[in-house]
Amino acid sequence: MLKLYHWEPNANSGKPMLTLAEKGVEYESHYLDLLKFDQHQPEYLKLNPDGTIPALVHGDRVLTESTPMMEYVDEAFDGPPLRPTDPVERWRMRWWMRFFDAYFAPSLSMIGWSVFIGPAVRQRDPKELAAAIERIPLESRRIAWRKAMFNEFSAEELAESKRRVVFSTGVLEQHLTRHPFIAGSTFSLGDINGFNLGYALPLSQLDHCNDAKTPHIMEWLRKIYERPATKATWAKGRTAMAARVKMLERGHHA
Amino acid sequence: MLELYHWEPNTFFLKPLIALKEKQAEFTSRYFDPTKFEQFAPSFPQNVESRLHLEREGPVLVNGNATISSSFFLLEFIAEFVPGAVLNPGGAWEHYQARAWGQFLGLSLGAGVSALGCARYLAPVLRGRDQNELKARVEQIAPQERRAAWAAVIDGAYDEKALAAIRHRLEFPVKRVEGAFGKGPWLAGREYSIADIDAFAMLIVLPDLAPDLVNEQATPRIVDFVHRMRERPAVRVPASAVSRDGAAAVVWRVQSGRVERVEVLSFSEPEDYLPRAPFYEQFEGRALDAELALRRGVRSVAGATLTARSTTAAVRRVLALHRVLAEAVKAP
Repeated sequence: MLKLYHWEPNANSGKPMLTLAEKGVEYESHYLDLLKFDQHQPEYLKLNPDGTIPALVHGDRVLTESTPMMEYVDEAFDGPPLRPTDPVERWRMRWWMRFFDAYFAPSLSMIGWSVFIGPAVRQRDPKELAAAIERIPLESRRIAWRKAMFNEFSAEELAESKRRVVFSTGVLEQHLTRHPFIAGSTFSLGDINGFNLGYALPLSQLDHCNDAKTPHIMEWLRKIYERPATKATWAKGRTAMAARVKMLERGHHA
Repeated sequence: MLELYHWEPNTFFLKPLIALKEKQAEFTSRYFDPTKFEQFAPSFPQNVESRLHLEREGPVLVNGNATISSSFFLLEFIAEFVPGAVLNPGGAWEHYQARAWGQFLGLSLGAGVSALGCARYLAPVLRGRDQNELKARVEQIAPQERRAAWAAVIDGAYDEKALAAIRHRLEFPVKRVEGAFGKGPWLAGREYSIADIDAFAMLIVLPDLAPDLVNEQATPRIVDFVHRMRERPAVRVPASAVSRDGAAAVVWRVQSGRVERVEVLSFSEPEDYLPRAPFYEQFEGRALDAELALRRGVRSVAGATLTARSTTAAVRRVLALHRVLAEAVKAP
């Protein structure tokens, strides 16, 4: 049986969740609470020594990189193809996933960590938090968690992330004026990736992502939200974070 | 016909050169000099993706109307859609591993190697230029990240502290790659693949850029991998040097600082101006010295003076480059 270790349908965890749902592939769901540091517990570290989520276990194969994981799911299982057959569209899908993963998402997540994750975990005992940080295997993740927990993001870092988010939103809107989907003419993993990154942009970036300023992004998000696989995936969310997706209902007013 | 826009065979530019050679694919080589900002010329192929250029500067593959950028995705494009040798062997699992390596190394090694390379090789070149002109040119570059990368090189932002921090960040990916070669000779499964081409192009300069990090004692498997890769015919050619100057695009093989062979890769002038074999053969065995010049050790070709001149200049440049880059990795 295929096993997926994941958090909320959001960001990296949501990528394989939505891909598996689109493919119609059943899996055993293992929910890890990111805010309780389930991903740094010894049992999970045996499976993924990096302590990152998600992780997909298929027989004796363990996959831990979420974007290549999506391509794996598309290639290894039957179901509707989620990668274009056209060479240029396939390249474009990959280029945009990298843009999302390496540029847009880190900026957006720094803001999310500073306003959401940091305050949420700071209510705990500082000693417990310090011990939790010590258990994080990757240095880069340790630094990020420490900054989030103790509110150490500098004003310059946050300002640069905000600039990048506004810039990326503009670039994405432009892209979607040329193509209905990320890769071009068809729905693909690029849209799954982008939706996980951007489904809450109309809420978190109210002034920069809305029907007046970014009509193409709004239409693209609503189209993806209306897919049965998206509805089923976000229904698995346990927190208010995942529930934000409902604002993509047509006729919804903030 | 594919057209590859590339610079010298280093880091990002080296990857598609190796992959196309492995495939024995025909392509038109379009050499450009990024230090002269030729990639920003109006005639240079561009689209939104190549302008944003997540790697800052790199190769561009033109396929009909499509402009394809970002070096690992160029490798995937070549592996999947260009006929010839299989460069993505196996199935979903092997492909996952290649992509996971491509992503991990692109974001970790790629960023560090290009910054160290700019500080070492590019900064001295740019220091020799008119600084006011250079700064004015860099000011025009968009987007901001690409401009900042150039500005960092000319402003001296890469001081010893900054370089040490970059080298520190390379420790983790280097250690991970060294560990992976303990499990098998290639990165993504049992066979050679684009993951190896990708890693090689970035690892090959590290013995020079970060000698404390990559050397025979600290990383014997990486050093062995680099040597194994260099033995591949498709790697030996572009890694030795590909260059272009004016009319002729040529491929050289260089061994121990001497030209082994010169081949014409593509020729954008009428065929009549293409010198015959004896002209190219006279470069064989030559080293970088005063005799390597027209009217000295090199005979020109009547009616093709420009080609003769640019070829000779390019051979000199290639040998100079070879001295710096290829010799950085000493044979065991």
